[in-house]
Amino acid sequence: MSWRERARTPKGQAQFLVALFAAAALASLALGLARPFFEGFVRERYPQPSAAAIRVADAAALGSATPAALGELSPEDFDAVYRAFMRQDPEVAGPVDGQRGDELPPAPSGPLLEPSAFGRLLFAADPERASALLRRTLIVGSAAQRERALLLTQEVRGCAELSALLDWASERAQRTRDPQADLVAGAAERVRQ
Amino acid sequence: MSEGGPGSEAGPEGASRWDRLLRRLDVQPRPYRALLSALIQMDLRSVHYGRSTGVKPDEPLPPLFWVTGQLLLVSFLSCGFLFGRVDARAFALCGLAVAALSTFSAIVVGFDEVALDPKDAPILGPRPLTARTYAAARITNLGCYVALIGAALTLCPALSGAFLRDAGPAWLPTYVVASVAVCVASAALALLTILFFARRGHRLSGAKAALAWMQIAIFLAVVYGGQLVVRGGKTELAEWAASPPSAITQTPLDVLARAVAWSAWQGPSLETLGVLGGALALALGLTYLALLWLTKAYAELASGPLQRAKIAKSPRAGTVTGALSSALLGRRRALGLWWITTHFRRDPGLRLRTWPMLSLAFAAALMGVLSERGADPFVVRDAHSVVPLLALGLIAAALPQLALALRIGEDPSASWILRSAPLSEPGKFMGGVRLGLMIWTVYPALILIGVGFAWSWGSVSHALLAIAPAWLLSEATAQWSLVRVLRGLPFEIAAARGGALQPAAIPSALATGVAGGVAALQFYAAPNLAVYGALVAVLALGALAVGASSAKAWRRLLAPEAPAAPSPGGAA
Repeated sequence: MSWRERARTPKGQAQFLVALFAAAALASLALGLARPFFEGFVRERYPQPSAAAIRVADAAALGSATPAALGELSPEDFDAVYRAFMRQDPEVAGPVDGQRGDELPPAPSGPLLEPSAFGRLLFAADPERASALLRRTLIVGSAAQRERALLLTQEVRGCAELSALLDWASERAQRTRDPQADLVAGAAERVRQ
Repeated sequence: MSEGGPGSEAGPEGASRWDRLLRRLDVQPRPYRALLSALIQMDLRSVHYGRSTGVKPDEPLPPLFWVTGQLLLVSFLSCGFLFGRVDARAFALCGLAVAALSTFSAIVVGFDEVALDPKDAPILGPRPLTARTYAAARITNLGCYVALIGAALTLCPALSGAFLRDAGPAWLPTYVVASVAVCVASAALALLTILFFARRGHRLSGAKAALAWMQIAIFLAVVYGGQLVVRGGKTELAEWAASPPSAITQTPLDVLARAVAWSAWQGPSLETLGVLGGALALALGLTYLALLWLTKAYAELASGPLQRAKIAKSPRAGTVTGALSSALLGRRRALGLWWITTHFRRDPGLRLRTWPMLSLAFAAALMGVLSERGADPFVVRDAHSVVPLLALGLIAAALPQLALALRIGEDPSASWILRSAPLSEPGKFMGGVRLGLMIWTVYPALILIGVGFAWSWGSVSHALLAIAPAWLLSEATAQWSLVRVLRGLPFEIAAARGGALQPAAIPSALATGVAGGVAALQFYAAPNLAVYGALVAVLALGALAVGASSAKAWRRLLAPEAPAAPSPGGAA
């Protein structure tokens, strides 16, 4: 009996439906078992920052930028300064440049931002916006991106917005069995002091 | 349907346990099996899904197979896009929401086939079939349908979700219970909704025809949304899912999703079991209510109000709009416009054959705006401003397919009445038909996309400038397509023969090429308003020329004395 003839009977159609469900079950199991593969695609993208943001980032790296100068930036430029920091480690930032967005950012040529000092500056300038940027990275960033973003919190103390964020992120990391849950919990503990 | 019959008496001693159970319930076993078998075969050839899936009566795989496949695919793709990006609660919430929506639409669409068809009464009435046997067969058939739809919507999230980081061994059973509760409750709500309207004489045929496309709409939303997340790097969905707004957290679906996620993380607790049990109880309560209403409807089937479908209002002659359109367009054009408008109003199938043809233009416009490739071509001079012009061009490119859709009619034999009518100026009549087609399809699309661009670009004048060539091109393409593709009066071919794309294939290719070319010219002319104005003027002259030549073509094609086509053998 050809498949066309078989498909014309209710029994044959039931068999086709069973085959369809079996294929879907196999595909779902394959999806679940390939979790590391799919998690490899989860990362935040940091496109090229604006010229104004690069100027402020360079000043911050040289130690001449003040929280007030950073606070005067537009929200877009403030975000771009954060992106400039993340792009200083091209491997962590991942491919984002070029026409098709598949090239790594160029290796940094100017002065490098020191994470703890830059974090202090960022959270002093606008704690709410800086916390929002960190929150986004903790949710959608790769493991390396989350680690680099958490470096910013090393020397921040008593910031209410950051403390609330890290408490929430720590609870979420515990719940989602995030491998970096201890790192987030440590940061939350440190900021709370 | 009789209340007693040959099948209702006690059967032979050797009857199976199932037969004995049926007899105890006062159900005739043999008629029950025969009717159930017939109903299941009818399910497999669902007419509404036949339209939305494009399956023809002679194809071996039935529409229900493709519908089940679509449900599995939508479910699998949404799992794939969310897997690893969101936590178990958001994963469960998305799966349950897709299940609720799809089940509701599937029941509404397949109601006549699976639950209750008023046409059953004249067919089954003379047969020796008790009302209870009929109800039992119908309800079993409905149960099978809900089970199939529910299984298709539960399988993928239940299996793949078990491998989420924050899911444990309890995920599989708890998600299955929650999904079953959602599918059953959603099906019961759909039944109650339809029966509520049916009692007031509404058959909801328009809603059924529209909801048959629900899976396609969900599928497109999942695919385009997934692309924005995976390829476009959009983070809003994951951020939203990490802490959804209170409007979501207070919904029953989110309460259920939280219970599933909590059970999967920490193991089942009294509280989560209570939530799951409550959901099941609610689903069963709604099902009981729906079955009560349904049983009552079965009892009333022979003479009840369900048979009285609401008759559409007939068009009223001599209305103000009729007088206005006659004065503005002339009597022949106004007649053509009224005729096509009446078809669009009355026939949901016509709307469903035409409107989806424009989805590509909307998808292109939406993708352009959302992926930041939809810049204002009068401001930005690079590749970022090409997509909006192409999206507008795609509206004109759809016109050969729209003309092809006009060939198919619900009642093709009625076209003989029109053929015999004294149509003295067919060019003007078809001009009214073209205007009606544009009013029901192209103009709303141009306006909607234009409003979107005006909002996105912050400039109404630039949006109007961008639309003008697309409008003129659409006018010319509509005139030309109706002559080339329709080649006669609309609605002359039966719906069952409507699958062939051949008459529109070459016109479609040509229209797409011309639309692409005009979009490219628009792009290069945009910096200079004088050049752009010249382009618009050329297109306007072209539209007028095409209009004049198509009027001549209609006089030739629809002239009363037109010679009959030569017979294939050539013998005259």
